[in-house]
Amino acid sequence: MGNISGFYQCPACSSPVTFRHADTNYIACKQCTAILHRKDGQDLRAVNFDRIPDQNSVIKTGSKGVWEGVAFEVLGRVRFWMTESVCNYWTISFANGKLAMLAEGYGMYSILTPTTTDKHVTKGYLDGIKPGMQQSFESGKTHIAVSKDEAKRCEVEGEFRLPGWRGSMLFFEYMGTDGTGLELHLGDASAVTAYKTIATSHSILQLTNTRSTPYTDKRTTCSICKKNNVLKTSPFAQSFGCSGCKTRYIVNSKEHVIISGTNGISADFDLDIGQKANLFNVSYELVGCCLKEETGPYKSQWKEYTLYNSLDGFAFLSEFQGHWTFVREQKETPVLLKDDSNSLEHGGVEFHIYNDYRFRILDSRGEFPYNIYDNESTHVREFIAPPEMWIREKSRNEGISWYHGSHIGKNEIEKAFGKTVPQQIGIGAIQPGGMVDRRKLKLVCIALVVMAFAVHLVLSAFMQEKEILTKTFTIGDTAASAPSVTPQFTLTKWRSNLEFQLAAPVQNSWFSLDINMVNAGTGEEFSIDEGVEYYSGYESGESWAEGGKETSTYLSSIPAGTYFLKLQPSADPNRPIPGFSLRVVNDVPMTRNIIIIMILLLILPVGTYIRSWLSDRKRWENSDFSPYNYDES
Amino acid sequence: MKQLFEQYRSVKWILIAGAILIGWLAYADYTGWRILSFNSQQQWGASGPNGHK
Repeated sequence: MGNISGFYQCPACSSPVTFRHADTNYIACKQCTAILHRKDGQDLRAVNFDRIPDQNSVIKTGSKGVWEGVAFEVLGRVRFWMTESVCNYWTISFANGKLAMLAEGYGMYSILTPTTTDKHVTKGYLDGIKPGMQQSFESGKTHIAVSKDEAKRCEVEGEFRLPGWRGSMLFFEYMGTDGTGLELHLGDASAVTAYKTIATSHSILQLTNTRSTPYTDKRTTCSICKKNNVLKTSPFAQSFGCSGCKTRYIVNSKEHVIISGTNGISADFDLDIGQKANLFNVSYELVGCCLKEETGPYKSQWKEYTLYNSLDGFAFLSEFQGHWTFVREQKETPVLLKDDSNSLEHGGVEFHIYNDYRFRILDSRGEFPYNIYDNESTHVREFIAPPEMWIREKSRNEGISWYHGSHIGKNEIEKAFGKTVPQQIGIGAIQPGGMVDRRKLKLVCIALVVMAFAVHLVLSAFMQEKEILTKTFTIGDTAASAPSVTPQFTLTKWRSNLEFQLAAPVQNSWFSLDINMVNAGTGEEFSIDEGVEYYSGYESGESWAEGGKETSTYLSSIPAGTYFLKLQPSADPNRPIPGFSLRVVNDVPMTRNIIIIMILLLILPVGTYIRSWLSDRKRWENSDFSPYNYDES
Repeated sequence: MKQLFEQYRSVKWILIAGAILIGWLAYADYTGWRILSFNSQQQWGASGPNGHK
């Protein structure tokens, strides 16, 4: 292949043909129908390719975008018809002169840049690859085979790069344990092309100059009931159920429709084909619905609705016992080294196995982006971390597919579709109600307790604990003596407390003290009364005692100022006491405060924890993998 | 920071309540306020009673 862009003449119509990039090897003549191939040092040669007959894609030749800060332009594409899917590989030319591929289909986008592997990969090395197998193409890195697919047909447009096509091509998709993707394309036996793949989205690519009305309907008549079915998602629609009868159809790679049996029952679907709804800020149209049944012993049934948006592709709404999950296929996925792993980690969140099943279709209407009628051997494993889940589907034909599910509330569904949907039963698999991450809850609790202690200790360390008064007062033998007045003292802190430690030699009697603290400047008074009582005796051979001879009380939050105390003692008139002692300390730490705050701090987390535990326990009742023991209930 | 906030979004009310309680504790400790004290402290200004704490 030459290193410079070249000017050629079309061998079919003699029109001038110009390649815009040196590394592309095919171009569609703009004047005639020929597809032209260039090889190193050779003239153009017309080859046998189908031109893409429809325009069904948002992207077109001439679309522009940005990837990792570098602008690119779409030169052309190859549309591969795989075993059960269709995928566009757009050839894109960057402003810095590099060439890459933009894989696009079903609303998923990936950038493929040519790479090399440490190992020399041959057809023999790739033979016998099955999804889930581990291989290594780079030292120190393990790659997991995600899918193996074959295209026996492709259509083309514009200028593009397609190495090794000899009427078919094998595609091997791998995911590295470090999350990087690798794709190997095997055309003829000698040409294995490796690409590093990075999942992206149309918004990240900032696509411009796209098609505003990208899709045209495909009409097909049911051979049984003669009803005209309209497929809105062609060429992605790979199967459909006739809207007039129970006939099931699949679409093969030559776009022929073939009968694939009939639906067993006729289900009542809550949402209708053709309805439009805005979910997660994307406007979708409902294009298909089906009733699925678990083939295991439980025979659980659920409804699945297929949604479509021309830019974002397909999404699914799954409804089981009134609980809804919004599901989308993903390319940036968790990596599982073992098929039977019971947990996975993605994005810092741990997901646990909730369900493991195979399913069959009981009823279907509308169109589906894959052949839903041949999936009885598809092994599905669901991992949950409410309100999210990862669904791993492993099938013989399609390899490993990952879907991400998010809980969506009944009210949101009703609002989006304008229809009433069934009431919820029990707790849904990823229903968030009452559910919190208990590990995070514990961390938050520990952090809050540590912070509260730190605040209390720091502030307590700076308390003045200044002694204002220590004095023993004598009182007469009357029950109520004249009040005592103390010398003035000054409180310097903006606001502070005072602790009054009172002691009186009471014996089977009581003593009470009214304390009035008067601001010498303003006349403002703060008052409190406190007393002691102590009783003891000997009764029925046992001695007893109650009360005490010492106590303490506080005046809280007293403003700064100069004060004096007025003390009014009173004692049991039948058992007078000689006096009492009083110690007054200003600005003392209060352990009581931290105890109360600790109790209040823990009420909400403990309540949340219990609610979460009960809710989670109920949620897992529907799972064979429940971590809870239900025997005692 | 935003990512950290998103991670702990599910426990945001506990964080908010905790922050309020710790703030309350700091204020009470600094001013010598006995939290939830039900003793008979009374306050009288020159023009009459100002309530109690």
